Amino acid sequence: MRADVLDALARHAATLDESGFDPRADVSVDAWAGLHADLAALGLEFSDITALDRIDAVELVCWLLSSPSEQLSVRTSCLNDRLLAPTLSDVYPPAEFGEREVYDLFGVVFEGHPDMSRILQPDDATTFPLRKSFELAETPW
Amino acid sequence: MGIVDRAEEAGFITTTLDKLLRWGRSRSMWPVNAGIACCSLEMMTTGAGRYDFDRFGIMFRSSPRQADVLIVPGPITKKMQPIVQRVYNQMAEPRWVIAMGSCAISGGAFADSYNVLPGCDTFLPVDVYIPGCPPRPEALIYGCLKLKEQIANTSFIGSAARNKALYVPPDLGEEWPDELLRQFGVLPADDSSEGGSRDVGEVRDEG
Amino acid sequence: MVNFPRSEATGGTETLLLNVGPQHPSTHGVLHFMLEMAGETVVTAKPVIGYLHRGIEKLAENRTWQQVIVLTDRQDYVAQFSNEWAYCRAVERLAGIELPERAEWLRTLMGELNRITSHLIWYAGVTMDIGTLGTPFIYAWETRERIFDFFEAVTGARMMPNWMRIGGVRTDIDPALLADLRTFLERDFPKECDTYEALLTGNEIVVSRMKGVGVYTAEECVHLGITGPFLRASGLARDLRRDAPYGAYAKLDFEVCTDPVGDSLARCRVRLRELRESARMCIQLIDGMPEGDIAVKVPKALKPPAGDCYVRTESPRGELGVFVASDGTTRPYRYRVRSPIFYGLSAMPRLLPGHLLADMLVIFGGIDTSMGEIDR
Repeated sequence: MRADVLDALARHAATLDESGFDPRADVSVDAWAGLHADLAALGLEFSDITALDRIDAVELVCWLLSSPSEQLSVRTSCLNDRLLAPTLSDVYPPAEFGEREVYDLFGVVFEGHPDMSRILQPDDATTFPLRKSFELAETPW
Repeated sequence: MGIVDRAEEAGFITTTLDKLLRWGRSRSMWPVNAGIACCSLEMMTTGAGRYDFDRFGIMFRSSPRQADVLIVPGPITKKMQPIVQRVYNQMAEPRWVIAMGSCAISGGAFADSYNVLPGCDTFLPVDVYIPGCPPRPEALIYGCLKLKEQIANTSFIGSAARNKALYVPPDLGEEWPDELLRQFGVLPADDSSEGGSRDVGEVRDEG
Repeated sequence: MVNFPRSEATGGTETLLLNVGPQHPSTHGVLHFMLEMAGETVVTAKPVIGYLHRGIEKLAENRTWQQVIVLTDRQDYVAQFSNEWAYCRAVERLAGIELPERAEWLRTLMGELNRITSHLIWYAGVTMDIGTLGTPFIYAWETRERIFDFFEAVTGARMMPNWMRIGGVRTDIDPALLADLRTFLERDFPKECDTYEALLTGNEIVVSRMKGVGVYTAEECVHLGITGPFLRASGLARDLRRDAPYGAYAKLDFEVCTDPVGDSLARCRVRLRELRESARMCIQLIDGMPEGDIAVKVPKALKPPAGDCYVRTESPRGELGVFVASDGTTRPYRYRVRSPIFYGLSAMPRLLPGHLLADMLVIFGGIDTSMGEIDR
């Protein structure tokens, strides 16, 4: 882990956990955009943004690359009654599509996103299929 | 050839013309070049050098207006369904549909998905089903030859009335969502007072 | 980034909304572009995707770990082995499974052959887009068929092999087949590559359509999240096969193909060189193939420990990431694919404005789309 990245994480009160496969940093939703702006300024590249359903909350997972071979996940948690997070699309342009997908499949709304609309499902869809509460219909066989 | 299609009963002229039409139509099936998913690659393979679809008089056309066979090569999702329906509606009569692969037949590997229709026969009149995931090019050729047989052996006399009775295309309501049109400045930013009138981007008549 | 003054393009005239796709021969599947046109110039471009969204990520949560491999084949149907491999690597990392060396080499061989077939499909597609109807397509497809014969002999299926397993591969490859393949790759394939080059970079019309069209710098590409041959054609030698080697890549001698120019023609040159490079790697793999087991024993009811991991591989289109999460049961808790083209497409609204409609299809052809992977 680079020292300047550690500094940035500490500045935003992120907890760093290096016991897993890749280092992960957990941060509060309020510090989400600020931390990413700092990390982008340090030259970290965006790889992917996605989410995990934690039943009572949705965990946002953003994978960043500190070098072509080193990856780091930054995570935050949005409780079910407030599925709202600041957008990263002004920091990382590709996150625009990634966040639309998270909205489409998990229902997390990103504040400040230029176009918060459905991306994979039809525009008139009403469900968020990757939530665990959404169950697939039984097949006839 | 309205004489044959609309004829009420078979006479000497209509049956002779009918034979000619059957001979001609069965030997020049032109499918739409509409790739959907994995099966479209096998469809292209069939059109390429080794399997050579052209020798059966089967040539891919990019415009549905010029085509008379719709090969559905893949799963139909909820978002894709109106598009496939529209391609089908744009084709001129008489037209045939081939459901290629498990997904087009029943949803296949994605049958229990929330976004995939259980087969394209839920909204299209399918003539030939070709199983496989994906079907081999030989299977596609076999299916097309079966369709050729079917065309050659089915009288067209009175088929216009039959087709109408069999199948009525549903109203599509094919319009762009207002939201997208507003984004592109086709509709004014706030058009709630205008009642959604749109002069640009109007979908043309679908025949 | 391309800064395109909107007022200059429209010049006070009305713009036209033009839909390209979803049923269009040049969109390589069911992609839909909403273009705002000022005459022949693109003012804004909006990709509309999701026409092939089959919900693979949700379906995976309802399958066992092994059953997901069937879905990964169909997820990107142009690069089936790359997708199987990415998924298997992610699960193996999560479950801590070490592979026998022969399995790694076999996987690498199939992965590289798959890169050849995938690039050939790109070649057929991009040449069709610019109007060379038929000829390059027929040539490319014939070579692809020869490799597909090999795939069929090894896996039993032409397109959907379902061949890799968690912990190894399903079937071994017969030495006679390998010898045949080696002859083909060494004797015939370079000649065929010469033909492709003659038909593409040797064709005056094609060159004039592509040269200087859509020049992007490496910084722009990185900023917009573009990876793979598109990025390498802008001069940045970034390739996970070399930067973070997996499979047998660490033991192979290969070159990361780059081109300093960054236009559409450079993207063609990079892919054409990658064809030769992949064939060279395949020959090394066949020659150095170690003996041994092709799989380790993995319990049928595999239960990786709770946790999650993210694995990136170099698919023919760029960085293919797979994120899997387990809750300690026999089914994945979450399966997520980071599709290289999904993010490549997200850059299109920034890359396309200012170009002519005809050039737009050439630039778009440079990212080599496969809609199955984008929509999943």
